[in-house]
Amino acid sequence: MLNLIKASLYKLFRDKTFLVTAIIGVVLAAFMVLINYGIGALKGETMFMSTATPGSNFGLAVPINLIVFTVGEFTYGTVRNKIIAGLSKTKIYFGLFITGLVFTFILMGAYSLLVVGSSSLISGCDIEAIGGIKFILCYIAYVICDYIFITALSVFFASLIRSIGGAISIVIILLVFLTLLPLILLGAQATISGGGLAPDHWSMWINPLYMTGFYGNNVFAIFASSGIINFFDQNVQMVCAGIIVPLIWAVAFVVGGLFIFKYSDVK
Amino acid sequence: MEENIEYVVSTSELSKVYNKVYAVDHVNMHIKKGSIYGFVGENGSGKTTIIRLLMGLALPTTGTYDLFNENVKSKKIYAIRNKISAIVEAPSLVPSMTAKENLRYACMYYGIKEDEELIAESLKSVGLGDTGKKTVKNFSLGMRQRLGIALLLLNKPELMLLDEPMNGLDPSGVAELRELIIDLNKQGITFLISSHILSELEKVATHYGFISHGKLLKEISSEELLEECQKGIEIKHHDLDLVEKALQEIGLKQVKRNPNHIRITDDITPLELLQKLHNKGIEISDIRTSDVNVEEYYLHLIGGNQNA
Repeated sequence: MLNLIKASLYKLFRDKTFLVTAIIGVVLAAFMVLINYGIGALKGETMFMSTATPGSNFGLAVPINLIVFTVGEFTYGTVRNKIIAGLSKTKIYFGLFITGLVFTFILMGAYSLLVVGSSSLISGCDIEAIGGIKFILCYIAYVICDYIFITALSVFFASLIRSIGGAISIVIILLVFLTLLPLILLGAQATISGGGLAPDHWSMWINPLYMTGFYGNNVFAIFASSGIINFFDQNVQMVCAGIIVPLIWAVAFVVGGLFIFKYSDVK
Repeated sequence: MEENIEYVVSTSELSKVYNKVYAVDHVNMHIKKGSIYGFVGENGSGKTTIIRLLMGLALPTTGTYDLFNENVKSKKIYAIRNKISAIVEAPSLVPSMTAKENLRYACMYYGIKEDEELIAESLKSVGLGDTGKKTVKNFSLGMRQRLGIALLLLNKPELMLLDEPMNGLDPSGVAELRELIIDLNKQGITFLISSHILSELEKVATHYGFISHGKLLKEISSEELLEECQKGIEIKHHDLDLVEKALQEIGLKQVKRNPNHIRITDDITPLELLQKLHNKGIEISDIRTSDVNVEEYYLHLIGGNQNA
């Protein structure tokens, strides 16, 4: 297994997709900082909330490129070579998933550090304005769990469909829908009940991207800044939902992907 | 199947169905250890599917197979597959990497020490020692094919399955590959080679498997094939039993009965044969002399099979 991961990482760091995604990340980071600086909205805490949100900016670029990389494993026959070399399909699929995690976390981590770091250096970062260190740690945990889910989802569809266009379309639609779902459901609830916009909505137990979708959304940030809702308070249920739900979905997609891969032919 | 012979591949009623059509139809195939098994069949006959099944790339619909006497369902099969290398359809290479990087990458997943000397030697042995920083995407088809072979050799396999290995090679490349195969076979590596270039297969194969429409029509050693292809007389008749009996009475010994004809390789001319059969009261209207090569033999086999 270690040999397989070592080989996959060797290939990953020589792969153009990784390099291109890294370049996109640097350009996008510079662009985000400059734009926000230009309109006077550059704050470390604001950038922290919006940078790593799945379903927007670089949060979409990473799964797209991860799918390109994973589909390439099938089309260039590297998966085929590994099967021929006597490696079990279970090991190969886990190898793809772990390589995907490395791909996602290196690029997403570097991008977030670049944007939040440079924003904080230029305009400072008011940690208390976003609920203090407790919220920051919770939010980082949500983001990490979300990207584990996104990696599992991307590898699942890339190895199932084995076509870049098809897999990207499905994953992007799902990611955008899931990040917008809190806005749709909470908006509907607020309209029907005439208020009561609370972060801990029942859909957080289903939607793996609920927390980052909720907190990364500008509409809710406006409510937060106007003091209408108690925005940054994290109760135990919210923390559990934000961490456990994406991880359960990630496990489901890894196990499902592994099962399908194990019982399907490889060209 | 002969007894007491060690087979590296042995299939039992192996079948693969795609969209209700048999791509591989109840194949019982046997590859003897140390042989070069020439796998002959037209496009779409099922050659590649069988190789894919043996390598675990496709799952059989029914039937089973053994590799080095280990059944495919055995837990040891992963370790067994490590003794086998294969090129299926085309070599699988990473286009953005150089030849050396491709071999280094393969060493990693094979779990072999990334020995630079071994890598350089492997590249040299296939004539790619001086490709430098040229990436595989800039390689010709022949260069890719040779790099694919170098990749296979890294793992020091005991069985190599080569699907159309001569594809894209120039005449000197074909000759080099042939020499390499013969040389490796002498070192104990068993080969299964599927190829359309039957004239090339004839130069290396020790055994043949003829396949058509997913069915393995015949397995034969090169000696037996040579015997069957030698100059002879073929006669057709509505009552082959009667003819066979008459030929025995005449005293002919090298008589072989086929589904729709009888082949005689005794030293006798067609005219003499016709005369002798006439004396026995048998009139033959369809008689021909034959001296066939592998290609003609295969075509004959397909025809025989279709007529059968």
